[in-house]
Amino acid sequence: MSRWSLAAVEKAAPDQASLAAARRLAVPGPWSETGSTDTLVWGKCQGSGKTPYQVSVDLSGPAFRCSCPSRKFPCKHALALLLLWVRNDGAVADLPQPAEFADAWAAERSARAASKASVAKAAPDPEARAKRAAERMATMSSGMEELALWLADLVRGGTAAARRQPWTWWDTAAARLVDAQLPGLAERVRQMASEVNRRADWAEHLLAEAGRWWTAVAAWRRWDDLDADTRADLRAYVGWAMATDDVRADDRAEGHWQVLGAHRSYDGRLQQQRTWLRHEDTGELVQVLDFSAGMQPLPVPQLVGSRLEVPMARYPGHGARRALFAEEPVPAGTVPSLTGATDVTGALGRLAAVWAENPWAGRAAVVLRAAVASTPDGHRVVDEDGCALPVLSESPWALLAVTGGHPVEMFGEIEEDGFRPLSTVYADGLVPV
Amino acid sequence: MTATVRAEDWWVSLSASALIGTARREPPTPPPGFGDRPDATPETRLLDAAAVAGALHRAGRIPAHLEPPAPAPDDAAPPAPDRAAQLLQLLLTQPPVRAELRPFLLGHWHQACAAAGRRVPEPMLPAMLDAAGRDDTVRAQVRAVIGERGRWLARHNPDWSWAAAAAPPPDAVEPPDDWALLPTGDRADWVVRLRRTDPDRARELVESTWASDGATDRTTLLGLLEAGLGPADEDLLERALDDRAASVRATAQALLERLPTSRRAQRLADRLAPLLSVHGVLRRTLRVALPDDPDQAAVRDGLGKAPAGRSRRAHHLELLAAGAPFEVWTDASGRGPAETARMIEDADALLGLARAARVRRDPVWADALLPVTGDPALLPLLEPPRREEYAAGLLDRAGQVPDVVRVLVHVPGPWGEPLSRVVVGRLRRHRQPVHVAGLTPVLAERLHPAVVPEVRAWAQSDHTWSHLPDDLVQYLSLVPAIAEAFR
Repeated sequence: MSRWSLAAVEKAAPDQASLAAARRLAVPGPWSETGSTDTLVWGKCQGSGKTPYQVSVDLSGPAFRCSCPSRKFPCKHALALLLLWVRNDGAVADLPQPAEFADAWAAERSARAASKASVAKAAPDPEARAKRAAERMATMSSGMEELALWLADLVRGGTAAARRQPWTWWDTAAARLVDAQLPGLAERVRQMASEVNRRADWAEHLLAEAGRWWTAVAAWRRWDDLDADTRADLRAYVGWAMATDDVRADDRAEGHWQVLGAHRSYDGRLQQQRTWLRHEDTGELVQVLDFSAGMQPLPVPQLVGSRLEVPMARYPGHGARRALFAEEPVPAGTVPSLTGATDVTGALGRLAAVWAENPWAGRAAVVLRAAVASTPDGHRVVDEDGCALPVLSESPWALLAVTGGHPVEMFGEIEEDGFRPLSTVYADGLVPV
Repeated sequence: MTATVRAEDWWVSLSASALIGTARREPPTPPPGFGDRPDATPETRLLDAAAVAGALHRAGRIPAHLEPPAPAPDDAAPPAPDRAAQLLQLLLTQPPVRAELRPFLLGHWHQACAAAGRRVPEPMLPAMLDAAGRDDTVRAQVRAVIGERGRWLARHNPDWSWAAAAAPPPDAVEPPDDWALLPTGDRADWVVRLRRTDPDRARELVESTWASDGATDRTTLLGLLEAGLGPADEDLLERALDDRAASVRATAQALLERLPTSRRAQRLADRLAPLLSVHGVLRRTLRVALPDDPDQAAVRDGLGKAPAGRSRRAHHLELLAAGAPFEVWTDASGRGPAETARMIEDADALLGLARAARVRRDPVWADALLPVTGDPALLPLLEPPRREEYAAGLLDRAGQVPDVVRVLVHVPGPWGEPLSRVVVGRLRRHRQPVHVAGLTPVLAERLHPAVVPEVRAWAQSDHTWSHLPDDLVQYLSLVPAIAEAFR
């Protein structure tokens, strides 16, 4: 295994604070008994405790281990050790034999990996696979029928009565949906439970959502008649994930892609990162979605405004499809400007067009030419015809600073409630806002 | 006859119906063209209608109308060069130095930017406005470099209102008519402000409420007259020597030490002169006799009880030396200040003289007394080359780290190269583990960047100063980098 580059170490850091702390530790002073082989780097670091921390890095993973009490992964000691190692100035020497503590850990890891591999090696039996798939469909279908009954109850009693229901009424319905392998719907039911009490327009909101759930039920009943793209949209809505291997195997779109914007959100359980890419020649938009549970770090996002040469593997579906990087992206310069701008009416039209094909879509991505205005009710984007939309960003200061009240091109997501700017043009490039 | 139904109306009637529920009200008839399912129930009819009408309603929304906003005025100054912008980004988001040093580096950046006639690039304005904190000096620096766009932006956020105008609003010059009725804190602010522009007016205001103010207020307000103190203030101070509150009298005595032309100074001179006599074969010694017990007038001038552990007469001698004009000494010795200082051996007299030199900001006597007393507090009064020379000498003689630090903090920065070298060498010599809070910013701001190699060697050596040398290397490397980035 060759020596890493500085960029690789920086990429492994969970956050900038760890990296900064690691830089301060990357001096020979606190380190002792350091060394490296082809696959392992190890050392002992004197911290604030009495005994030095034992730090080991297995380059084949990479995997990190440190006896310090930090919960970050990798911790600053492991990062600092790597920074010393990549400098290649003798602070971490090349040794023939690893230190005892590093060796023992590496041996343990390879034993574990071997047992895992042997489990995965069992070839999937096609017949068993088909049987499992059929069982799953049956479970989901019965869950959908239960949802249909629950929806009928809801409208029979009326939305006003539904709002008066205790939280358990919603939670039970959601739990049943989870059991029926429909977690996406379950989450929406749970969210509605709090929204009916929070929103001033709760009655219309509940009725409209119920209409969309009903659309999902109706579509599910006609599953066999649906085309592949609608099936994919429905699967995404109800939370039936598609295996990434299957996606990667399928169609790939080659060429140059522009990274136009990214957005991170956290819904209490799951962190989600959405990165928008546009094909330079065809203008096709795709979104790369990354998820991580709880406090695990998300992967480092692509730089907004960069141009990448990479084949993208696209999921089926309508509109801006979800996609994966089929290979490691190769940077190829920067995006000089945002083309294809529309005004507010045009953006609303694009959103309506998306909904026409996929009633369950949350948003459409557009390039909007507008100015940002402050009103007593919050910030708005106003185009040159005077049409305005609410701005959905939490903190619009960077946007205001860069645009200065002038109408400019901005890339963002248009949703039912408003527009979320993600990037805008600045100094021959794009800047995230 | 098909009437066209507005999607909005359909949606509204549907919502109203859904509110009550199909058990009690039939769902409204859908507009023509929307069919029915074969096995429709009232519930499925409502749900189908909700799905379609909801989709139409959502997709057919008309945006609100607003006046386009007034854009920011154009900036005349160009934005900072790329390298400087990168450094600023680093300082704001991933500071490469400890938190306590970051404000100083930002200060350097602001000054270099203003000197180069550039401004902060737009994307970094919010972070810079947030990082400015509450310090008035920092805020003034930031105001100088944010440009028109920054001021425009600041007007949109109440937290940044201090940056909304190019200069702070001019201080009002006339105090209000009801000045006497203001709380003490406000009156104190007015006195401070007025002492800068119209010191006599400030004093008159203090005198106006003298009779009715309590002892604490009189002490506070009198003390504020230290700023811009001059002979015109003498009358009030002389009156205050008779005040019934001890704190007021003490304040007046301390302030009168700064006025060697005052009556009190003359009175003390009259007491001091007889105590001085020249002795020795070469007439090189100026002996100082201890003063007698004080009389009523002397007590009034401050010759009262000595602090614990000090002889009363020694304490009085110090007070006399601190309050009398310098001429008493040169008249007695018949020589210049430097020679006279050398002739004095009495420690208390020297203490008093040193204090007099400090409070009267007298560079001649400071220069005369330094070789004799070694008091680092006199260093700021000298010219830079002289004071750095002295400081180097004092550092060599200083024993423990606290003594070293005492000298260092009194030498205003930025230091020249020779002194910086001496400082680094002296600190490096110290081998015991040591921690001095607040030393890092002092060293960082005042050391000359040319000594970075020495500091680096110190950092890499086997030292006991924990992270101090590393922090200094980082900081001192960045300061010239900032200046360079704007070239």
